[in-house]
Amino acid sequence: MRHEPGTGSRRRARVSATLAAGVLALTGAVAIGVGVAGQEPAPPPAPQAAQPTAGDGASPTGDDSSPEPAQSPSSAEASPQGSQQKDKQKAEPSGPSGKQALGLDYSEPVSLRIPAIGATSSSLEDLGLNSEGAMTTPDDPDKAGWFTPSPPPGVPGTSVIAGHVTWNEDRSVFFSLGELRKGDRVEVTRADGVTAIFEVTKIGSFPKDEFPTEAVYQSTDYPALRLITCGGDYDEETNNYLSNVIVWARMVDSVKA
Amino acid sequence: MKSARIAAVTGLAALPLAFTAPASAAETVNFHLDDINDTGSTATATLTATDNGSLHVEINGTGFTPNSPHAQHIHGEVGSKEFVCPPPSADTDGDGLISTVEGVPAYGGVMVSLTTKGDTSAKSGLALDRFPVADAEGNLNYERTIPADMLPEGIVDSLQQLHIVQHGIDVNGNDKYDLEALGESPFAKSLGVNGVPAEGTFPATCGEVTPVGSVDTGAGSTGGIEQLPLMAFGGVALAGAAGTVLLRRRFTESS
Repeated sequence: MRHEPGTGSRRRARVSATLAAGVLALTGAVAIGVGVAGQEPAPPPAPQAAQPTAGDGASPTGDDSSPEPAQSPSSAEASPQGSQQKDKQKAEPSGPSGKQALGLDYSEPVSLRIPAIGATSSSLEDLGLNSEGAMTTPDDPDKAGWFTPSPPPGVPGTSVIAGHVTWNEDRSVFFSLGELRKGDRVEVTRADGVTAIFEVTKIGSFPKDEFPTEAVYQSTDYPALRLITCGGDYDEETNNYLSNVIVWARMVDSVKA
Repeated sequence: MKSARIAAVTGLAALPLAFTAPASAAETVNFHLDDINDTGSTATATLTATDNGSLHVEINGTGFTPNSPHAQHIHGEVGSKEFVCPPPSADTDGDGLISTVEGVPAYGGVMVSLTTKGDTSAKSGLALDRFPVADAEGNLNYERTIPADMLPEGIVDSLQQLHIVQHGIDVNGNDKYDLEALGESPFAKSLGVNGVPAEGTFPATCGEVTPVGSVDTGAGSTGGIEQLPLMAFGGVALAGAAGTVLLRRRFTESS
């Protein structure tokens, strides 16, 4: 050591500075670590749908000349529900046209499952219109809601279910809706014990000021389902997302519990 | 914990919810009417409840049997959600068409006859001389304010669950109602009116409520940085550490 040992006060200063640096570094690292661990990713984006068309993408009129109900339990592609095969309520020919149309009688929906994204809503709220004529949204961010002016899922026509994507910086029931892809299944269980099984035919994200009202709500002559949540860019000032993520689906099967 | 979260939600960032009035509070309700029986007719209807209990009704449509009257009604029942536009299975006799009689189980009975003048009760359901007439191009426009005392009780609060149905189709494509196409209307006959072509009474459109605009299903994004104060504190602490190290080095160097 070429240096002379420092004076006592300098040595003390050096030691306490070292200590302080260590403590501060540790505290800072822990704080940031906890903060980082607590980060939630933004909701997954849905593909931008270029051309909103009515119906399920099968034809612009929503009139479906090529329905694809699961012909038999064995032909259904492997799905988590492959084992539920009791008491199928099968398609019945609708009239002399020979068109196959699945369709259930009126019964209100009580719960929803989307296995592909692990989404469940153990009950469903009733949604209607607010005083401005827009759709209300669920009070509970963990629950989806059925727009009651639309037919119940499983009844021919266009049934609409909406749910939040996030709420107060927390994930909500439809957080991962944007990850759904064509062919994924959506299961809605109804008060009559029948679970209507829908298959996703289309998904898209639309700016809210270009909401494809007609393509979403237009009636169909088969049981159709639309799932709606928020997505896209988030406007901090209005506390709102700038887009809606919309899923189009049609019933392919139904199972009686 | 859930109730705590809901309480926080309603208290905090509940901007979209602030506009969520009870379902019955809707003042203006829009209906989109799609064709049934392959008529190609479509229409939009706007029903506005006013403070004095009256109901303003405006309906504009295209693709209707030209130069012909079109009966139109509000169907359903106060307080019931169980009505829908008729599915294909409503065609119980399998003739490929949904008749007036076949449609009623789906959309319910007539609550209001949307006539151009006079009575608006179910009794005017087939008063073809008082329903709007489509022009030569098949456009059908209607506007009327129906006073409170001519409306069924409670209807204004139930608008969201009701359906609007317009009648009158042209099956054989000769731009008019005639007996050759579908014969006489058994429905009209059951009401004591003879000689009404069935074409004039079969449903052409049915509409349910359609929301306006987009859906506000999200507030408080998980995007961006959460726990900012904690992270900021961490950052300050780290900076402090770095500063202290510098300080220590200075002490060292100066010694």
